[in-house]
Amino acid sequence: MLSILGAGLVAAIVCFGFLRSEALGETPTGWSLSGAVAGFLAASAFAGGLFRELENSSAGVEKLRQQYDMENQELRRVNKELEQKLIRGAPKPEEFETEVDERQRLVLSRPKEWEPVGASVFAFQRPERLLRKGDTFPPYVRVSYEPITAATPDPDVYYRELQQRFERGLGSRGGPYRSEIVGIGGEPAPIPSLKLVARTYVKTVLHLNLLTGQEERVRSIVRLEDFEAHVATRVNKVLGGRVPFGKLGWDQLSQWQDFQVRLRQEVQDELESGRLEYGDLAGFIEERAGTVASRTSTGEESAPVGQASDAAMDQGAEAAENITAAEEDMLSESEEVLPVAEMWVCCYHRGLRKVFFFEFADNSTDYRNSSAVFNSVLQSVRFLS
Amino acid sequence: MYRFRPTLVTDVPDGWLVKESITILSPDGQANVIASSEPLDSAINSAEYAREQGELLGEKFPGYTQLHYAPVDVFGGHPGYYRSFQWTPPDNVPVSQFQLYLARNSRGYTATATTGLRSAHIYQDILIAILRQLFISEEDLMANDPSSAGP
Repeated sequence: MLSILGAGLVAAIVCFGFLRSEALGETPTGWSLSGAVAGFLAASAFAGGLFRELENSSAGVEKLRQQYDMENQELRRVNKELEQKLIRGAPKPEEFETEVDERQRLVLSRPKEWEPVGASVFAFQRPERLLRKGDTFPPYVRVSYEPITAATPDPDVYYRELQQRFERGLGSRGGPYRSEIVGIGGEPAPIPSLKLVARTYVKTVLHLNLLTGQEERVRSIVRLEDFEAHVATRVNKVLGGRVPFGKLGWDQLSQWQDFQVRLRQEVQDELESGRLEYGDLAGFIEERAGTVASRTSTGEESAPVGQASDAAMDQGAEAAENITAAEEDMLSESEEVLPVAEMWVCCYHRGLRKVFFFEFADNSTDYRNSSAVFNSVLQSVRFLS
Repeated sequence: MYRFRPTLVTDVPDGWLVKESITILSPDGQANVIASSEPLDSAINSAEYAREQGELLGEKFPGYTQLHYAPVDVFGGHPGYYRSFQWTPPDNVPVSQFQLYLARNSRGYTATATTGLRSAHIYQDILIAILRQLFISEEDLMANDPSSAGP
């Protein structure tokens, strides 16, 4: 109100003091007014009217907001009722139980005697478009759980058995590894969890998901021998057709074989140490073999074809028929085998009756950087118990 | 390694042809060597014999890729040919094979060392060692020559 009176006073001073305006007025009671006083009253009356309009208007807005909130609450209530009706109305055959996943907004029925066996909670990976050139292994984070049942031992025993399984399972499939107990879930009561970090060898196979039509990489941990065989095949593939092999014969062939063996070892070392990206492998081998001349045929080109039999073909076919396929023989062009660093964290949560598993992986080249990301993810974990 | 000599001996009617073959198998079945000899037109030399075999391989074997082909001393120091190649049999895994060829005294000699493509780096050395140790017994070669047989 004071500001309205002030504004009226200022308007009167400006209009009648500086601009020399004139005004005449009469009140309803018959009093006559003139000059600045009339101007002051007129300006104050105008400003007051404007203020009342604004006040009424904001009261209207407030009223509208309250109405909106009420309607919104009502809609939520109706929505909840409908949801409950939907859940109650979802088909539930006899001896089935309804399961609701609030996060995924999913309802289904399961046979009553079936028990939960754990599931994936989260799975994230860096999109391939964001990977550096030559990097074929996107880092990923997977979180899953299994329920704690009457048969599940206490955390100490559980962790000890897990570590023993890990040692047995890792065996020829990687290593060395290290383990430690870390706190998961933040203060004030972090949950002691078992963290395992190891070098493994991972085979990835490009696989067409018929359902989605997308190509996906299916991963599995393999043995060191599989990695060595894979490197040997990659080396052989690039060097195929190059042969420093002439009249000297077998001795040069031995030298050639020695070269291949040394190159295979070098490629393995480079991949293991992370100095070489898997995607740059072919170029690396090409570069190393660059000085070796390509030579695939030295026969007499114009000699006539005689009446020789097909002994070579018969022998080739018979010999191939006798070959027993080794496991690694089944690897194909769509496969990669490369050294990978993996981190597993197992968190035994008594309160939630669940054992959570956090799994992180990246290829050797990038693990140093991505492990910092993995640790940030771990530190962010909180349990809504 | 020990040396194996074929032990079968037989009489052959005049005009009949003889093929002979030995097969060496690895214990796990993932590698083998087959060596054989067969009667051959005396006009054919080792280069023709080797090249013709290669042409047949290229025509008949699915996914055939020749890797190496070169003249080399074979079967105990005779000038012959060496070929390495890969192919995929219809009902089996891709294989890597090495073959030696020699035409001598109206006989064609062929040896094939085979392993799965993915196992090649494991067996390559031993297979080549076996191929290098294959040789023709000159004594038996002369004894088997029909023209040198008595009445």
